[in-house]
Amino acid sequence: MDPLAAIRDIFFQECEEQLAELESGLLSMEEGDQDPETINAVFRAVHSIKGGAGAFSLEALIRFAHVFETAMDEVRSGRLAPSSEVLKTMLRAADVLADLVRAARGNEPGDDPRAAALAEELKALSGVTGDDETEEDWGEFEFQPQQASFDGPETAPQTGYMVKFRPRADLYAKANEAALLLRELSRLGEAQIQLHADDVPLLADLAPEASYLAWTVTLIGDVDETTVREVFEFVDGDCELEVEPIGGATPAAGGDEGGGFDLSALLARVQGDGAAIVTTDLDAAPETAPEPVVSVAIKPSPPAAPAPVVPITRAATAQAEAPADTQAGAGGPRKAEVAATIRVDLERVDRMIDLVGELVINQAVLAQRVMEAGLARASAVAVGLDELEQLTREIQDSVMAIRAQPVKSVFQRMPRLVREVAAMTGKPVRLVTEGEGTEVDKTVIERIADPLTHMIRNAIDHGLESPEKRAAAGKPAEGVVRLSAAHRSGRIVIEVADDGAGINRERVKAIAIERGLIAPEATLSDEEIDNLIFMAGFSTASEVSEVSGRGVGMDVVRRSIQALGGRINITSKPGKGSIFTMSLPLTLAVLDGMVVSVQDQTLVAPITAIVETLQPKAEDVHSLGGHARVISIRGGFVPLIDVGMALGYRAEPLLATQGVALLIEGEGGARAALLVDAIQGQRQVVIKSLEANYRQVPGVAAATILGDGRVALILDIDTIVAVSRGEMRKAG
Amino acid sequence: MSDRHTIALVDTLDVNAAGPLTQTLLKLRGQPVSLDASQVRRVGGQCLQVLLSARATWAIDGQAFGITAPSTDFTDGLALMGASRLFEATSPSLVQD
Amino acid sequence: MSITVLTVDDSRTMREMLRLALSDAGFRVVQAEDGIHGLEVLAAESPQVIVTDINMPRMDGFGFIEEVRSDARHRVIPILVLTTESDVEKKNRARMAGATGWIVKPFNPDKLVEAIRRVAA
Repeated sequence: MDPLAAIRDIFFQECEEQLAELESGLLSMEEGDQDPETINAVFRAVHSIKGGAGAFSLEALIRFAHVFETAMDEVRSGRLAPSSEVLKTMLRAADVLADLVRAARGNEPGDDPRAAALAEELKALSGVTGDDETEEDWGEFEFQPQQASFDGPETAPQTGYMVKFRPRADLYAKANEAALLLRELSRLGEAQIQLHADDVPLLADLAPEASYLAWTVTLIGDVDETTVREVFEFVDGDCELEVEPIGGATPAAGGDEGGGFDLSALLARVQGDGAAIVTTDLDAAPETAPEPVVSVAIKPSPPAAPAPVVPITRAATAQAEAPADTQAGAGGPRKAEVAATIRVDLERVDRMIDLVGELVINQAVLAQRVMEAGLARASAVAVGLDELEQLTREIQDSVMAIRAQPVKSVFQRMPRLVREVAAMTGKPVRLVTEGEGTEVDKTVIERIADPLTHMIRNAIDHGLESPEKRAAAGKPAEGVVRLSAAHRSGRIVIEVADDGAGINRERVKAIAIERGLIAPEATLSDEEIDNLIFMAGFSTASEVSEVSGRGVGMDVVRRSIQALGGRINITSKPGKGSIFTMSLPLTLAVLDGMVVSVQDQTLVAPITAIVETLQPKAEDVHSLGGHARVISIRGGFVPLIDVGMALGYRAEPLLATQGVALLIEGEGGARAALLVDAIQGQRQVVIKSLEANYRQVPGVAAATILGDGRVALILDIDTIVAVSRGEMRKAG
Repeated sequence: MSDRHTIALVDTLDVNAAGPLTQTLLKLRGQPVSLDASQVRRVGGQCLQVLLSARATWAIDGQAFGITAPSTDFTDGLALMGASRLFEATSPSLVQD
Repeated sequence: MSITVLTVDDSRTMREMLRLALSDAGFRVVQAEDGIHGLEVLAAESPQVIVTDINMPRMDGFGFIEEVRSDARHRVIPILVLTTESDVEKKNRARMAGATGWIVKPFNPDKLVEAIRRVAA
């Protein structure tokens, strides 16, 4: 790929990160966060986007980002208070900026009237009126020197210049070097360099880091003055500098009125007799030494030295030598305060997770063997094994933690959604988020974004009442949607709560009956009624909503959550609102399983899919012909699936009364009862992908290795249910 | 010849080198000194000051002060600062005593 | 021997732009993401020139320059400040901290290279 195109991709990736930072920072400010680092991070986000946009000449983006940045800078500098109004504007500006980024990415013009309008609002905030300073700053790719001294009109090329240059100690302290500047200068043309060493004291009086030397350079060449001055761009203020064109009118003698150093004496010496300075024979007696050297030597008692221009060398030296003291208080945060991070290839982490999985299994196998060997529980070996198990678990948790990320990355996408849905529905909404720092496996995070989006849309669209209805109910016009995350007993629990009207149970039940989802005579608890909304095809909104659309109901949400090994349910209080609670595993690498026996096989059913276990009674089981059976549970019928038959372990079905039924809830809320021989117990198992080793087996999701070393298959509940439904239709 | 001290100049005569060079030279005050510039790759303004100052000091003390085997970088560096002839290797005089 | 340039910038985009411009010019490039990281890379890589952004998280450019300058080993390393701040105040603050020179973003690659050559020994 073209390297620039690759960088462009990086830029847009980075923009997405910055936009997320920007929004979360602004939201945090809206909640009263006044931490300068938050404000700075917000500023930096806009600033970085502008910087990159500048490099790629993305004009619309540059213009808007610049105006935004200017307004943010007002806030950062304390000139503009981050009031709720200001922040609302900034949040909308963040949305516009995001749109502009996306437009730029797709090479669209992105000349949004919205952007223009918001830019005006931002300008009003920062007190900038009308004028387009953007063009000035950004129209030119090349930079213009900023110093006043450089601002003179571009001078026409001259035949030569007399450059007088006297560095101050600061020049050296900033790692500039007179020798390099002279080198640059001499590259511009033919240079005669004259050194003025008159101020150099004797060694005993010399401050090594002071500056005593000066130079006069006669530069002959076809260059303009700006180019000559540019050589000294970085040392402006750290040296005395004069650049004079050499013309008939201005001979080199004009040093006096320039306020620089006195050249006349020097020029007389140097130009009059250049050799005199120079050829000092080392062994010549001092009295025969030519003037310049002697004058250097006796400098401590200055003769006719150009006193005014002598730099304050002692002070300068002291300053240069004490940077640590003077700067100890300033500066940024100290190193020790900041946690170090490293970037690691995800594959390496996953490899480690695999290995730790093996370790957990191995440890379990070992423990089982020790048990079988009949060693006492209190024996040293058994105790050691317990410790090993403890350690193994800790290692596993630690390794899992590497893949864990805060849910923040998903949560921070929601405020924009809320603003948009609020705008579409005309319902004022405030989103409150809690527990953004709660960590969960990266894969889980990636896969909860969609369900969460849907739930929040639903909460605003269906959960919250219109402002009028709220007013009538004595509630504040602004509805509140609360999004929170927390760890609870080894799982992450995410809640979406609204303070709306709650589930209208009468209506839900009526719809469920109308659609044949429940028997008209069925008696359901409030909780059961509330959970009807998760059934496939259920939608409580009688009108088609533009926001939530038709056909995509909570059943889709539930399916996604279950696919992650999670569960979702709802609790609702009429008039007070509803709370959707999702509970998800912290990782997809381990699973809470119900270990069951079927024929001679050991199988694992994900606990999240199991609603309850029951002992079938003969009178509840009805045959539909063939091997198809249903079981009656609380007045409803669900298919009874013989797992042994479904997986081909046996040819003849087990008598229902001889087994145990697991009432499960599969994809789309379809219920079924899985008939197994016996339940062995519950345990956490490490998931081993089957597909990596074998071809995919229908009805089996993955495998695990149990403590006794045997492989146990993990049931793919949805497939089993789907397959047996098909068979049941054939049978029926 | 035996009392002439030879100082090997370090390769980078920058700001950092100016202080140590001054100290080294001060300790040899009153004795003939020869500086070996064969390893010098860079010479900056502040070390030039030290060398100039030392040279003047030695001249006043009436002691020999010389530079031997200057590297090309050293000679070029001095030339850029207009100081080349001040430190031209004057080997004949160095071997004189 | 090619000159090693340490670039310190929190923007990945900017780091890659710099890498492209500088490696095209024959410099060896080492990168850091902020001031703290910059100090670590500085210790490990001994670059001859530093090009740093100002506005960065954790440790900004001013703090970074001060830290570099307060370390005797690095007080003479040329540091060029690379930033979109065209405002004189920022530039002066960077210089007070010990910056050797500056480049205004969006940078012209030739100017950048020229500036590095100007300050590099």
